[in-house]
Amino acid sequence: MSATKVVLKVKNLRKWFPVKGVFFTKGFVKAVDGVSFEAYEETTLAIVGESGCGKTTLARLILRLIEPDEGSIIYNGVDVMKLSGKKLMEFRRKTGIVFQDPYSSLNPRMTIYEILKEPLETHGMLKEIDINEYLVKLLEKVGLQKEHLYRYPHEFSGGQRQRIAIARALALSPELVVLDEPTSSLDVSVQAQMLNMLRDIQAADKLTYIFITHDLGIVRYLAHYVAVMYLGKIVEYGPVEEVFEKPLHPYTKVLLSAVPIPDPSIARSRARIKVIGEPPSPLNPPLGCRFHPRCPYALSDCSRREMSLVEVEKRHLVSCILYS
Amino acid sequence: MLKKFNRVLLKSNALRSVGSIIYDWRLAFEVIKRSPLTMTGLIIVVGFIVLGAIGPYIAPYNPIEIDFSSIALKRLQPPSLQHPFGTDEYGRDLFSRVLAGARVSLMVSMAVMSIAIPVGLVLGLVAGYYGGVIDEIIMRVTDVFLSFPGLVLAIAFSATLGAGLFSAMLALSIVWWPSYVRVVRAQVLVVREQLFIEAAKAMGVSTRRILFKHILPNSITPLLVLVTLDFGSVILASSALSFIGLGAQPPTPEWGRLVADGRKWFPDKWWYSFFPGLAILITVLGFNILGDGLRDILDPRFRRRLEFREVK
Repeated sequence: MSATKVVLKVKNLRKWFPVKGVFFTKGFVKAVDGVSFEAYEETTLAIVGESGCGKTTLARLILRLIEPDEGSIIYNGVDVMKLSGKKLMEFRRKTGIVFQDPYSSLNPRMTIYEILKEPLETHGMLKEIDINEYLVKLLEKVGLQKEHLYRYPHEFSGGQRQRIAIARALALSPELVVLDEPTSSLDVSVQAQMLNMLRDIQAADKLTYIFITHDLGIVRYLAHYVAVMYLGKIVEYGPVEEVFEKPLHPYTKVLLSAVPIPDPSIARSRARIKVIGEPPSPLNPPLGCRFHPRCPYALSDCSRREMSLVEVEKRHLVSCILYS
Repeated sequence: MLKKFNRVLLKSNALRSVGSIIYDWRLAFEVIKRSPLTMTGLIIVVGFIVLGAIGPYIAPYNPIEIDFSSIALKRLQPPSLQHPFGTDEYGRDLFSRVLAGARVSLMVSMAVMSIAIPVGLVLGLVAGYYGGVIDEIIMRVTDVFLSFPGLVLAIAFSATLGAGLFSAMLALSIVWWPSYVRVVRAQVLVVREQLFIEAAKAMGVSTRRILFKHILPNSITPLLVLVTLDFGSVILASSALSFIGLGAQPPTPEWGRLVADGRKWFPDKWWYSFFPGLAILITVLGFNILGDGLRDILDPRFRRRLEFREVK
């Protein structure tokens, strides 16, 4: 956590998906709308937010699986948007992704051997390594054995499939791994194993994680920094301890007060901050601060002024009228 | 010793995948055995293919040559032990001619498929994967072909190209690929949204490899079923072309042609049209039953059930 080198710097990223009508575009889903953040070397940045707030779109944008409409992604000082050919392949080699659904992320017609061999083959690394030895080591790293190498994905449980997906992401010894809710489709006991494993791998391989999740318990356990997203925008960003101890943005406060506490007596005595209504449609987000219709602290100015992230304390940024 | 064996097994990936293919086929065979109807279809189809391959060699008489010395004696004889399907107006053994006809039908259907399948596959893959303008162009051309009844279009092409077996094959090939484009494209649209495609992109896998290693193997099942069903239809269509005089020309022993020739003598000499017609009926039926059965077997839910049973 002491490391301070910025690995990934995202600036003002924007992606609007057009909603097509019969003859013309009816509007845009503002999935990611002006997002900026930094990720530091060998740390975990968690991106939290409720369903549909644009977390997964953001993950895809970072790895350039979809093209943003605007903004820049700087990876180790290089603008990812300008990469092509060999340089882009180099970027692909240094990054990995693990998806939420381990059932659709593995090709059902390929054996585990073929699945794990593919990235190595793509990047011409077969000459340099003993493929069998390498793959066995890779499997052991994620808690599987070499007997598993020649089986097909349907022969595995969800947790094992997710391990295979992680092994695939790690096959090229990447520096940055984007984990898109890797544990949310697994049951709780498997989740814990998986999180420990991810943490061990991070320490051993000196990885930088971008961990997308909606589970605040995981954030606290695994992450060093956290970015809270609401309707396509980051409302608060900072070190995990600080954000959890002293949340600034009302939305963060609401989220944290919704975390269940295992002790009923404490849970009852806690003052819960409640939000009003449902999250608005990203097709037509509220003017001004996007959270203001649901915010318990809203002022009259909130609907008029759109705030940007302001550094309140060192590396702790918030986008709220109360702190400007 | 065991360790060494394991090592060899690990290294020989090819061996392993051959093993799994054999396992797959054996599994498919197990399922077919459980469904008597599909098994019947399989037997008919295999029988048809075997007869098509060796038919002319096992035919008791020459199916084409006419023995002029005994026409008067042998012509239009009813089925007997000597001539199980009877004889035609030139004294030729109809059983031999029907047997030889199996080869003609097999050749026509294989030729049509070997053109229609690759064309349909490639166009469907490209249209489905790239979408946009390419998709529009391919699909609109396909729609033009599909908007005519297949057989009518085939007759038109065949007549333009001139009567003959080769032009019939060509005409049927031209008519047959569009439905394959549709089927493949529909499947590609489903498969390309799967996460493993995105994972492959994130690793930098080339588009060509994504198309042929990831999308193709996962889109081919419905095509396989359709092709099995269509084999019968192609045989029927080529017989229809021959029946109206556009396909095979005499003395080629084509089933549709035989039925047409026998019409002159119907119903007195019923066997002339009846046996070639029966051959068409049984063959087409066989392909249809097998295709229907395959559809059930290749449905993953059905398969899973079987594998569970096997574990027990």
